[in-house]
Amino acid sequence: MNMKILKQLTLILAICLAAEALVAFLPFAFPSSVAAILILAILLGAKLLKEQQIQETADFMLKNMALVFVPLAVGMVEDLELLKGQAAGFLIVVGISLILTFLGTYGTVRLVQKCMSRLMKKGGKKHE
Amino acid sequence: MSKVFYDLCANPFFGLFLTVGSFYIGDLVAKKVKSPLANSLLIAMIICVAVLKLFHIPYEDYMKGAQYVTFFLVPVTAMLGLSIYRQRKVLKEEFFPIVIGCLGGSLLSMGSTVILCRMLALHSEMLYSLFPKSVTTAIAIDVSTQLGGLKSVTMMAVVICGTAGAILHPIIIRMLRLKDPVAIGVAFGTASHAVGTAKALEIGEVEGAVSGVAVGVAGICTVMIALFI
Repeated sequence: MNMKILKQLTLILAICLAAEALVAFLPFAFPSSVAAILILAILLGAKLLKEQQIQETADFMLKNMALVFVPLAVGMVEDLELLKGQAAGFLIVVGISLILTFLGTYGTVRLVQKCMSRLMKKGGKKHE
Repeated sequence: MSKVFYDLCANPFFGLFLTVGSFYIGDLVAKKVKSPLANSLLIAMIICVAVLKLFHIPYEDYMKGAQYVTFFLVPVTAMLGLSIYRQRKVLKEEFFPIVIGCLGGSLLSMGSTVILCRMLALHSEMLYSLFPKSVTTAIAIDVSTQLGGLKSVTMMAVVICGTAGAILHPIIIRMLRLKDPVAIGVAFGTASHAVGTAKALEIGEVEGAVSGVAVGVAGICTVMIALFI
């Protein structure tokens, strides 16, 4: 069991290292965390990596993801004075944009779904 | 006595212990009290800040140990790749609605932030900090830092988007009688990241699964859009 976790952790860290290497070679700034997401998804999709090869460690990380944000959240409280004089504006922007994003996304998905079902119907008629 | 105490607090094990311990307590409480306000991160943060303030322990001393926890940000975020892979069936079936929905939502989130910041005449540092507010924390902080935003302000906006979203979105859904489970899922994941996904899971299985995929896809979309700025 212990060996299993060690092996899984090694694989995960290797993916992170590969992501850092990839990002270093890219001509533009790209977050290594997103590069690592893409590498992992591609490896799994291409069957080069099996889910079982990282499962336990990955599930532990996914379940307790918020732990890594605790120090950042503490730093955030230390930095609250950064908002001085801008707090009202900050809250207005975040609040309005949040609701707009939710409604806009819902609308976009419905629009795409309607367009696609219309296209499917047309396509279906042609074939008949 | 007090010198021994403060020397001990400057030891990296103090920050590590406080971070992991407070999160453990936060997790226990969150499981007992089912409310979007009682999440493990928020409780852990309150415990840590309270201990630091109560005993006048400098933030720098705390970070000596806590930085090792932060270091795991990349591997932990990378695991979103696994959750996208696990939802490949939904992603395949609803590929275009999900991807275009995430892209549209991310554009709207960023666009409305720019317009609102200009209207309220907030300074550009604030604008860059708020720009990636709807995506998951690790990605938001990366994008914000790259653009020249303030990490802490971004973090605040991300936390608010998650918690406020978990409370507000169900009210909006009820008021407007929104029904489509896929569209609801994408909207949750795009507007309110992982915290929204937890709420979406309570609404329904499809909503939760789609929201989980949307968190990853919207994060990638946001990074792509930020490349052009």
